[in-house]
Parts: sequence; C-alpha cells; structure tokens
Amino acid sequence: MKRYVTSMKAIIAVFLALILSLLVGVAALRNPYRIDLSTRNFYRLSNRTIQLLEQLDRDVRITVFFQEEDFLFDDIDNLLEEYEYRSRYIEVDWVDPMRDVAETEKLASKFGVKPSQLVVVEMDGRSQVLHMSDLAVMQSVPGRDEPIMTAFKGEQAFSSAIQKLSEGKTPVVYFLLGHGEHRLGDFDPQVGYSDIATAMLSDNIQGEDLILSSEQGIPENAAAVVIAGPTQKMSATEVAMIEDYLSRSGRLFVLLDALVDTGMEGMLRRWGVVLHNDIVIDMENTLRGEDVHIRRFNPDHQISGTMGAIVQFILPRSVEPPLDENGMLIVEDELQLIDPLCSTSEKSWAETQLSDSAPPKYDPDTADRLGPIFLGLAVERGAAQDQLDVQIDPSRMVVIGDSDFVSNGNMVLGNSRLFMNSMNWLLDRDEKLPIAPKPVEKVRLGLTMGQLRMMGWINLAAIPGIAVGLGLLIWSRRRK
Amino acid sequence: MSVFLSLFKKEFRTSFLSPIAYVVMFFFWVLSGGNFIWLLQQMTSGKSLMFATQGIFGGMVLTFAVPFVVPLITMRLFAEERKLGTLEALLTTSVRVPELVLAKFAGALVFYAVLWLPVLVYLFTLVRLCPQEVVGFPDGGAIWSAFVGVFLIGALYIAVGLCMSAMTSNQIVAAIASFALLFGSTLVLTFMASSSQSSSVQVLGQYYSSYVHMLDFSRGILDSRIIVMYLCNSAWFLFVTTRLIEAKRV
Repeated sequence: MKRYVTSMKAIIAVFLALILSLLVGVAALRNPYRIDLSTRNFYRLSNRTIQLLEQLDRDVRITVFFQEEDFLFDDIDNLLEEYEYRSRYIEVDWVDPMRDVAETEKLASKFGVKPSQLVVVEMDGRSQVLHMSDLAVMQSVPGRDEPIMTAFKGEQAFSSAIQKLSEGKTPVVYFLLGHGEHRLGDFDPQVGYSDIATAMLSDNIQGEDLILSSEQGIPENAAAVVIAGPTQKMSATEVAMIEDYLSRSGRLFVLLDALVDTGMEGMLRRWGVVLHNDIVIDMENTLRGEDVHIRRFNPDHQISGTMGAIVQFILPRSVEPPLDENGMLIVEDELQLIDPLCSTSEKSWAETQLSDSAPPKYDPDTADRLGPIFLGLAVERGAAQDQLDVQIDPSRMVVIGDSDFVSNGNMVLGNSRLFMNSMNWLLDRDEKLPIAPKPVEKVRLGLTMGQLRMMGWINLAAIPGIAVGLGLLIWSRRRK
Repeated sequence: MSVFLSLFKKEFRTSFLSPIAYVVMFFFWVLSGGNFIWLLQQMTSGKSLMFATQGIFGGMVLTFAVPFVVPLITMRLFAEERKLGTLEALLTTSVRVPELVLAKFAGALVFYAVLWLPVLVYLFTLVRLCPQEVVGFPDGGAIWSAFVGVFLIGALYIAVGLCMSAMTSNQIVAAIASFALLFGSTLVLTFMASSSQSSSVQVLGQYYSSYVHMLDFSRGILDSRIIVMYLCNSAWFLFVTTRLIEAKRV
C-alpha cells in the first residue's frame, strides 16, 4: 500500500512538473527576448523598421512563394523571423509553388500572378507583390550563366510595402474607353484585360473605366490614365483634354498598336515621342513570327532596370525618341527626360512596306530602319526644380508600342512585370524607405589541393587518432 | 556540495576510464572532421561569411550525429550501476538523489563538451586560412552563440539519455530507447519544421526542432523562448530521473 501511494505521489509530481515546465515555456513565448550576437548584422532590423513595426496596429500577412532550394529562401526566412519577433501583427505563410500546388493555384487566381519566387504582403484586404528584384541586387558575372546576388534588400522591400499598405491609400487608375481600347472587365481569354486588372488589384491599385465627354473630364482622383490599344481615332478635344491633364503633373500610360492612327501622334510628338507607321520584326527573337522577344532593357531606368525576364510583344510598332542622323538624342526641352526602356536586337528592323504580300524583308531602299529599334519610352517633364522653392510633381508618361502584351492570352514571361513596373513608376511607387541594402560578403579560402589533403590527414586521422591513442593508453593501464 | 563534487569527480573519472568513451570520441571526431573538410572544400569556391559557423555547428551531419552519440555516453550512467548493484548500495548512504542525478548529468555534460574540443582547432584553422582583407571571419558573436546552442541541446539530450538509463538495468536497452527517442524526434521535428503543409504543425516543429535552433544559434541568434524551452525540458527530464531513482530507494 505504501509503495502504491509513493508511486502515485511520484506520478502526480512528474505530471505537475510537466505542467510547470509547460507554463514556464508559455510565459517565455509570451515575453520573448531575442538578441543577435553576430558581428555581421545581416538580418538585424534598422531603427526605421523597428519603429514601423512598433506602430503597427493591424494584421499583416506575408505569403512567401519560394522553394527551399531557392537561393533567397534562407535570407527571407531569417529576416522575416525578426519581423515576427518585433510585431505580433506579422504573420508569415510559406507556400512551396512546386509542392503546394492546390494552395498555389488558389493564391495565383487571388493575386493574378504566377506565384513563383515572389512575396505578397497583405493588409486590410490590400496587397503588394514583391518580386525577386525587389529583394535582391543581382549582378551578371563573366563566365556564369546565372547572375549572382551582391546585396540583399529584403528589409527595404518588406518595410516599404508595410508602410505603403498601412497608409491605406489605394490609387485609382482610369482606363480610357470609347475607341476600341482593351477593357479591364473583359474576361475574353485572348484580348481581355481581366488578368492584368487582378494583378493591379493585388498590387493595391484600383482600375476604373473612363469615358471622356465635354461634361466628364479626367476625374480629380485619377492617379494615372491608361490608354490601352485604341483602334479608332480620338477627337481633337479628347486629345487636348488628355494633354491638358498630362501637363498638370498628370500620369499617362499609352499602349499603341501598329497600323492604327489614334489621333494622338501630334500630342505625343510634342512630348518627345516619335511614332512611325511600321511593324518591328526580329526573326532571331521570335517563335511564331508575329511575336518579338525583348531581351535588351535600359539598366538605368527604374522601370526596366530590374526586369530580369524576357518580354514578348505581338506585332509591335516602334516608339522612339527624337534622334538626329547619327542616332543621337535631340534635346528639345532641358526640363524633359526621355528614356528608352527596351529595344530589339541588331538583326531586327522596322518594316514600313506593310502592304506587300511578300514575306517581310529589310529593304534599305525604303524607309525600313535597321535595329536596334526602341519599343518603349519613359518621359518625365518638370522633374528638375532645384531652383524653385515649391515642389511640383513632374508629369510622367510611358509609351509602349504594343497593347496586346498584357492581354489575357499573352500575359507570359515578364510582360506583366513591365506593365506593373511602368505603373509603379507612374504612381511614384518606386520610392522606398531609406534602408540600405545589405551587401553579401563572401570569403574564399585559397587552399591548394596539397593543403586540403594535409587538412584531411589532420582532421580525419590525427585528431581522431588522439582518441584512439588515449583509449589504448587507458586500456593498457587498466589491464595492469 | 562536497558530496556533489565527490560524485562528480567519480563520474568524470569513470567517463574517461570507459573504453566506449574513446570509441564515441573517435567516431564523433571523424564525423566532425569530415564535416570540416567538406566545409573547407565548399569555401574554396567562395561562400558567405555565415556559412562557416553554420557549417561547423548547424550542419546536417552533426545534427543527426549528436542524437546517436549521446545515448552511448548516457547508457551506462544508471543502467550499469543498477546491474552491478552499486546503485542500491549508494542509495543506502546519505547521498541525496538530486545530487546523484546532477553529478551524473554534469559528468556526462563535461564529456560531451570534450567531444566538441576539435571545433577549436577548426576555428583556429579558419582564422589562419582567412584572407587578410576579410575582417571579422569567423564571426566571434556567432561562435559564442553556437556554443550556447551546443550546450543547451547537449544538456537536453543528456537529460533524456539519463532518464532512459534510469528506467532499465540493461545498457543496450537504455541506449536504443534514447537513440529512438532522440533520433526519431530530431527527424520528425525537422520534417515538421521544414516540410509540413500545416502551418500549426510547422510552428510546433520550429519550436522543438534542434536542427532549426542550431541554424539560428550558429548565426548569432539567442532567443529566450528557445533557451527557456531547453532549460525547462532538461529540468523536467532530470526531475523524472530523480523520481525514478527515488522510487528505487523506497
């Protein structure tokens, strides 16, 4: 009986100790304290981010679409651990695009993106998509196919996204209708723009339809206006309204198809955009003949500098800045910046003999122009205001020589990326918090094969040999 | 205290007089040496500064070698004494059971620390091989933090092994039970932490997986939640061991 009572007491004591141990663990979970002893500070959050997270009062869900094999996986994981520690409102979900297929498809339709190697930050129903180029500075290295990461800018990307979402503003972008343009609400699998509408919404941009009339001008709340592939000519009044909007610090995104007279040619020329009646052909960068794959991007512009993926245009037209006979840019306005965004290869040409039934061929005796041909321009006017006391937002315009590249049937490769980068530049969303990217420091040990072999002998024979020697010594002593 | 010191000295001496200790030592040093050679080979092609500490302390080889090695250290602690009948004799003296358990625990922990001594040679090698223009390699803060991790994980594993040894008089049974528990849990928790599709299971895995913890420790992170978890669990297993031995006294 005494033994039974003692056993019961022991079991109860063990059980109570377990509960106590769990309670202490829970208390520690509720009051965490974390320090980073490393001298590299690679994942240590800046004061700016800590302040931002301390002020956070709403849930932020961060969904990471990365595989464990991706080179950024550990960096993102370690950094987001610090975010989770700093704020209880941060919740991180990991989705492996290859393994969690059902979840990936569900989220792909929700965000309107191909969820691979990207991070989606959500707050209050709004979201922002962060791509690989938002998280890492990549650099091409001679002799290597893949570019290497030279700096990690995850903190800048995550904190900037959280700050923008917590500000609660959703920019409204108007898509002009009435001239055969693509419509955001069109779900046609080929020409509709519903997929890009979803992508915009997932990046916290609201798209609205706009029909211009004498009563209805461009709304005051328009963060930008998009003219996506008009097939009919606009009236002079409409063009004047658009130019008036643009000149008052407006933001305009124009996507123009070949062989269409839109009525905007004169206005665009005044803003430094030269249009030709041509179709750009690049036989070395095409699959079907009508498509042109773009691999050359202007690395110095915010739109094109982080592309990193091929863009596929469909029968594009040239969009060029004013150039002299030597191909040099003619500066018509000191306060205007014109930057080409992308161009075709040297083997391409702008075909102007469009009525020929014969297969297209470069003809130097005609107005055909040899590549590289520019297919997109970014124009900014009024940016340099150092001499003024007041800050006036510049006018910005992006013109692309194709509108089909983001239609539902063609949104492949880096197409949506080019569109969204352009949109973000137009909306001034390229601005990030002033958090410096963390450079990736590497160490390379200069070991010869001989030295490595010697290390092998020391570590695999000499050191374990000490254990063997000591063991034999003890064994012989014990025998005595 | 003097009783504890006497018991500790005895445990310490016994640890190093056992032939199995040197087999364990040899096995562990070959494994860690091989791991270090692999690390050196990797670093000849250029790796991040953090790679070295994570490779030495947080590599897969050692994560799964420790659960294999610790049962070999702890299997004899109580099982051998029970088999030889010396435990009963010891319990008839004025020795308090917690002192006895702690002395055996501390003795095993010191032997476990000795197993990690070659790491000092590895770190010295890295310092000597490091190009002069690279400053702060290997990372001193991360090394200290990694040693804290090694100590905490070792403490928990030894406490588990001690508990298993107190349950049986057969060393082999004690070793197999400890190995099954430690190796199995490491495997399952690592899988839960990295591959589970359920976020709650993943969180549970991340909270208990020593592999995940060692990666954090070896990059300089000290987290009170994890430290408390190891201390509480170690203490609980030591408490269970104490109760098991006290049950023998009755």
